[in-house]
Amino acid sequence: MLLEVEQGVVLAAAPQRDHPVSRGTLCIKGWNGHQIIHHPDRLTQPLLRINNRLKPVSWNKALSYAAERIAGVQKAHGRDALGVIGSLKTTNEASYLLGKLARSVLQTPHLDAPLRFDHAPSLRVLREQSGFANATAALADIEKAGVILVIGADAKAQNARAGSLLLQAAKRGVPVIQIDPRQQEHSRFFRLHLRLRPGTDLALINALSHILLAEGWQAPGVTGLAKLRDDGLDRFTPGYAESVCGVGQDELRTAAELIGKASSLLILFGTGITQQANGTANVRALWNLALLTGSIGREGGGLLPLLTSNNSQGAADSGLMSEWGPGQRDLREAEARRAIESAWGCSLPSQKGLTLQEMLDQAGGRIRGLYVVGENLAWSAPESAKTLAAFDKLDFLLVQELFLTETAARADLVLPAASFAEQEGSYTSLERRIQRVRRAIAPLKGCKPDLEIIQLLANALGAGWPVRKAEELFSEMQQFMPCYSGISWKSIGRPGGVLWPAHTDDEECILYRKLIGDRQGAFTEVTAGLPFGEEPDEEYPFSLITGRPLFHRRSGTLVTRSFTLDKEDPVATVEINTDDAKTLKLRSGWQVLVKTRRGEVRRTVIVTRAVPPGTLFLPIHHKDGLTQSLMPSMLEPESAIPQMKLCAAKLEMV
Amino acid sequence: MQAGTRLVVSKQAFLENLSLCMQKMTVIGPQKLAGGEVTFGPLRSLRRLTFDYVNDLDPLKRFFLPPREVLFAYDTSGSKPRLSQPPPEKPRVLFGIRSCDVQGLVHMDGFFQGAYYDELYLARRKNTLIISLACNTPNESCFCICCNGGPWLESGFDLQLTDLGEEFLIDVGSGAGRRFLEEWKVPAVKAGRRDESRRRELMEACDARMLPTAYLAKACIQITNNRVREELWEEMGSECFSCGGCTHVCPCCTCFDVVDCPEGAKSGTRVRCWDSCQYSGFTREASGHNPRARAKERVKRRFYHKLSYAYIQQDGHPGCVGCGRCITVCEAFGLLDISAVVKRLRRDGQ
Repeated sequence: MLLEVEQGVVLAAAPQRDHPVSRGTLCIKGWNGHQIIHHPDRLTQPLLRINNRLKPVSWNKALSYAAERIAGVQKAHGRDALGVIGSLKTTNEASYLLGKLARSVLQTPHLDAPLRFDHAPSLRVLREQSGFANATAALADIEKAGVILVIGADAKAQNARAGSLLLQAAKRGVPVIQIDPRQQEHSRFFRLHLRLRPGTDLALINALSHILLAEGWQAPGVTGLAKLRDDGLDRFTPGYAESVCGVGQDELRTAAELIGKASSLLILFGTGITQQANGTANVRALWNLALLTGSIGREGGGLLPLLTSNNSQGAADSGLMSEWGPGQRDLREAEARRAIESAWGCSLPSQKGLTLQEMLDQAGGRIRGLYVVGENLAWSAPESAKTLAAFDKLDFLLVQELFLTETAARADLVLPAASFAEQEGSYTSLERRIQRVRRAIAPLKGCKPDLEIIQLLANALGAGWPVRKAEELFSEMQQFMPCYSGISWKSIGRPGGVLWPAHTDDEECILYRKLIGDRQGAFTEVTAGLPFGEEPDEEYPFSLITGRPLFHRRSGTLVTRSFTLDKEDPVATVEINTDDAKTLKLRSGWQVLVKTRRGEVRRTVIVTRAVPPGTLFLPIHHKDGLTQSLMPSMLEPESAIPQMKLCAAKLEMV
Repeated sequence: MQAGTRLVVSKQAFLENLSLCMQKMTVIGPQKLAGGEVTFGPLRSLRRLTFDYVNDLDPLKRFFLPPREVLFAYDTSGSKPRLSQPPPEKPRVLFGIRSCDVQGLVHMDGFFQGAYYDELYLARRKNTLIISLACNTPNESCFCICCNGGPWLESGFDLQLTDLGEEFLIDVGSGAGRRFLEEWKVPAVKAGRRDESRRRELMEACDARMLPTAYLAKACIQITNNRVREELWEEMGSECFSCGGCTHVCPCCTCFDVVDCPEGAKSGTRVRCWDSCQYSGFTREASGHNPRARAKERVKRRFYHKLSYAYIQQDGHPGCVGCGRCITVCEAFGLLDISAVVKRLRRDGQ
């Protein structure tokens, strides 16, 4: 993306024709997202809470205050009383340095990123199985796939580029199978839409694998089938799946036949299957399905989780997840720890770190201070009221942000950060494409790039780090990241950058084949699955599901401050099935209260057949009543992702 | 020397003159960015000027209707409220603009000096000398011959250059163009028959290389007579990603929004920025009612505006100049750009 700048002001964004992914296109957020850069509400001075009000202070005062309070919290309650939460929007270099600050200077194990809230299960399973916590496929595979399965994702709304390639594939006649309770705008172009009951994905995915095996449609040479059967796949008969998921056996067989007879299977999946009681089990089941069809490591096949942010993958690569250090190194392994310790010249905290929701849950207990970079947790975390209460329990909340978000407003100290247009560094996309971001304008007066803030804070804490540029930090990161090795700063500056792992600049980049190679063949366990946290009952008769509309992104900090994007979605809505609306005597446009066990929000009714009977759909992130305030925060047991995709709800007239 | 005069000048001499005029005027021309993309911007010297381009993906309407411009700033902190407007710009030369973009400006002129007289736009138009460069080589997505948008024009420019190799053939299109040649003493001489026939050859070769992919006439008739099935609009609406790219890059699209950006309680700016008829917020009324709430209605509206007879009669030509940019930027690649839609309408009508 190019930015048009005149006299230090960003006027517009424009696409790049020679970019291999965008090919001259931008989505609505790409065209209009730049409007936040000069938004009058941008923070341009550090804000310090004095007498319960945030007041502007100088950078020097802010940094020394931060250092003093952090040291105070750690002295009183131990080093691990401090938690650090990174961002999916900061550069790789800033993310790496934040991890280094947390683990080496602050010596706290509690570091995590909001990736926990959307794709922790995806990355966990992929790392377990392929050795790398990343997609096995790239976006270009959508153009080469034999059959495409889209599950728990609305590609058009969540990733326009993937959505566009998917639409083109469907138009070319490539079978696209959508598994989702809700009908989407592009569903009409897909070959098959399996409208399952919310939360029953595991049974359906396993049933597809079951049929493939029963019919002998698995790829030739696939081994380990007996174990797969013994593990319990046999239980997932089409009849069982029909009773659990509400999808007809004929439809299941048709889908399985399309998958079994295609040259390759590409699976696109989103938070619809990860933010569930079975989040990790769902991704495992998808891995097995892809493996059965021989699609892992094959052109046009594999798994492609639709990560939600510009640098979600980069956050995982540069070490912001609680389990992994830089280069996705497992910090429980002694060798990985030693390498990092010797390079950083310190010992790393040895205990297992808390994950994001756990840190919020333990605020005021184990966690007494939080440093939050660029994430409006008040919007993105489930049970918003509980999150806000957690902030109040902290001794010290430090927030690094562009705007005074609901989270920043609760902080003791807010540090004003520079926007993407004012920073140097690199981002890694969902298909592990590393690209440079160049500074288009100088940071707004009073703001500082994330990298600089983290360095200043580290030095205020006595780290004595030399001031280093993004390019130097990129080289430093590379020593921990074999996948990034051999990639030059220059090469990631070209349009499209470099797909990692690329060991020389000019090497062909579809390398997951080399990566996975002979690891192909390991099926994962088949689990029966857990019931989802809240079944509808007499009091709360509806299943409430959530999803992201086209105009939104993450916690709304940026899109609600672009006047074009903000006016696209002025009304907070709830979708209800036509039959249910008839029973409840509801009409489109009427106001209702959507209530769950955690709270209520007011919404305008949309009566539609897009949602199945018994189901309500709420778009996430609306400023008029937070959808997330309704959703439960209980954790999925394996990946510690909150089960915030669905819960039980009821409607009341206003 | 009158408008319509054809002259010839050596390229080097013309560029030397252009370089001289930079002392007095802002020269905007095509230049290569670090990544290789060619884009138009103010030139400090001719060193960065390139001829290695077909067209800028970002339409040149931006120099007349900027994507974001401050209309005025207000300050009510004193005893009297103060309004201030941005200072007037230096005279400008837009050098190397392609014929389709010139034709786009002609189209926009109709809008901005029609029912409403837009002072800012028209001041920029008046302030800017248009030196266009006829196209010898089209892009694979160009179809200007279908819309009278090029590859060379009869009017709309101040000076039109045709690259003859070592020389430029100059069409003088206006008094301002003539005065520019005189003021900067451009050593141009009257074009001979050979020069004119060379230009004809070049333009015919360019025409031949262009794929005439958008026969607008049939689509205009179908749209005007409401002979397009609703199901087709419905399908196209579902396909649309509502990115607004087609309208942002269209040289004929004029939609804008005006927003206030307060800076504190007492001062701020009023800003105009591009908007798009493909966004639902564009037509939503204060009551909340939206006459074009769905993408289907917005897509339909776009092509009615571009191709229906009522608008062609009002504007004098269809709302398309054949630059092909919407083909490149459409997120629903190959489905909803004007050439694709015209084709789909034509097939649907058969």
